[in-house]
Amino acid sequence: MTINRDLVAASATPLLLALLDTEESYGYRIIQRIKESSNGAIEWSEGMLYPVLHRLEKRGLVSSSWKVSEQGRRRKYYALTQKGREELQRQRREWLAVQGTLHRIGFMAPANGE
Amino acid sequence: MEFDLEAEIAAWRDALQKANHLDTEMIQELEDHLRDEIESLVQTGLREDEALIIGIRRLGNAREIGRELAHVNSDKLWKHLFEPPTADLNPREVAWIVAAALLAAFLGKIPLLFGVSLNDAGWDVYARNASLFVAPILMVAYVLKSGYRPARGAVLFAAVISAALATNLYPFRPGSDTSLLLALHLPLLMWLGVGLAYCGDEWQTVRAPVDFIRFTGEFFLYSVLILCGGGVLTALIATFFEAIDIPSESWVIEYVAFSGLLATPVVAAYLVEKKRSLIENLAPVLARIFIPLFVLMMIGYIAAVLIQQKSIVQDRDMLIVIDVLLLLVVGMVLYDLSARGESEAFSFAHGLNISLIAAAILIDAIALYGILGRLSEYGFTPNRVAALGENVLLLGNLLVLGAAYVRMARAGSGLSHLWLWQVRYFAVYAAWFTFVVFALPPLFGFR
Repeated sequence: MTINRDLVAASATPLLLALLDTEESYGYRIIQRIKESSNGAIEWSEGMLYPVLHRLEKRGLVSSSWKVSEQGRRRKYYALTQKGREELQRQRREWLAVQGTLHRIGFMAPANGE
Repeated sequence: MEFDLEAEIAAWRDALQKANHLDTEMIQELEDHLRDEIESLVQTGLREDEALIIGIRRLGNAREIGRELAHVNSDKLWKHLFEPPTADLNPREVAWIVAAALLAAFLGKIPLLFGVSLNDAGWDVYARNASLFVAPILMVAYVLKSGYRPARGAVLFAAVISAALATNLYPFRPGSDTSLLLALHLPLLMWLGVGLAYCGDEWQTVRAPVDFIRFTGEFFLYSVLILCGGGVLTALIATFFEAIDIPSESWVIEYVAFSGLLATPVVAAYLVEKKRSLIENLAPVLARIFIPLFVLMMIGYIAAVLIQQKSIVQDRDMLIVIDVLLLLVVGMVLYDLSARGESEAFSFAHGLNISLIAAAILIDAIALYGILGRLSEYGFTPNRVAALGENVLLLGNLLVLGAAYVRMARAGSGLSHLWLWQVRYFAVYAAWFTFVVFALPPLFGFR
């Protein structure tokens, strides 16, 4: 199963915030993590990830720092800032509201597995 | 041939840098990503070269990145990709630029202290001095910025002072030819001085002067754009004040247009560095539109001359027109080249440049053939000496470029050899400009 573009785009920011809340990470790993966590349903392209990351950084929600990877290369890591954690809280409430509505309206009703 | 992963990645990095206005950090980040991708692909059993191809394909080129995002998100997310992180104007920098622009405008008022105002009589004093109001400011700025050795800065300073002395102590007759020639050549000489300051202690390398050529092209385009805008603004101001019966012509010219004119180079130089990506992407497009058109036009002209069997030099001032043409050709080719990577292989665009150079050389040869015989008949005037000198100079430049190009095509080598010769050739220009500014006026008795 793949997810349509609009939904992928809409969920990008909350997924990123949530992921960076659990660990500091870098571009390549973020894409891997999202792919694993979604069982391959969400495959982010680099062309989408980096602009989003940079926009979040510009808004002060994530911070970046250059570190040296195990392979000895310079690598840019991203981490959630305090402001980012607050934004995560806010977005979490929004998604819960959407999820609750979907649930109550019967969208999620036939829960007979995939 | 053995596969060299590092060389391939370097080439990819170059291409990315050139095709898009990504900053170095962004490119480093993408490179790290690419290497991760390659490593994991190699672990699954691919060869390095296969992994590289797949990795680059997955990463996509950044142009595709932009296009894709424009679809995905109406928030114009992709624009953030292209925005250099330092795009916001820094208030301190802006304050410096405003101060420098004002300084240029104030320097422009120095002749008033000597009782020379901007009227018909004083006009050529201003014309001769124009570059002296602005160029020293740029020189000082670049000397400070590039960490020049003080000794060399002093040499530059002495050169500017002696030019200023010659400009104002030579007993020019108002409106004389030699005065006009100085007014035309001093800015060129000054610009080479700005170039020395710009290159700092790296002026002997090839990279810095080439960068200055690119800077020159962009500076020129920015100045033209700013002057167009300024012209419209000035005309509007004048019209509005006239409409309410406030006579505006004199002060608009004396203050608004005059200061604007002097401030333009300062602002343009700043913008070239600051908003580099803007023009950097426009100019190669312009070059690619106009170079083929110029080639066509010149070939058509040569054909017409051959068919008509007429001398190209009907008009004795034709040489000046041809000088302008040659200057344009040299400028376009150099600028087009400066926007390319140094290691770029020979391609169709280079072929076009060669035909442009060849056509220009041919036209010039026909013109010189026609004019040299008649030169004694016309008599030597300062203008003709200057026009002829310029012509020989530009022809020499075209020959140097052409020869370097042919060599490059034969050897399949990069542009570095060509640049080496071009940079050396600038010394010839400097010598000629110095001659026209310092020696030509006394030689012709300042007429």
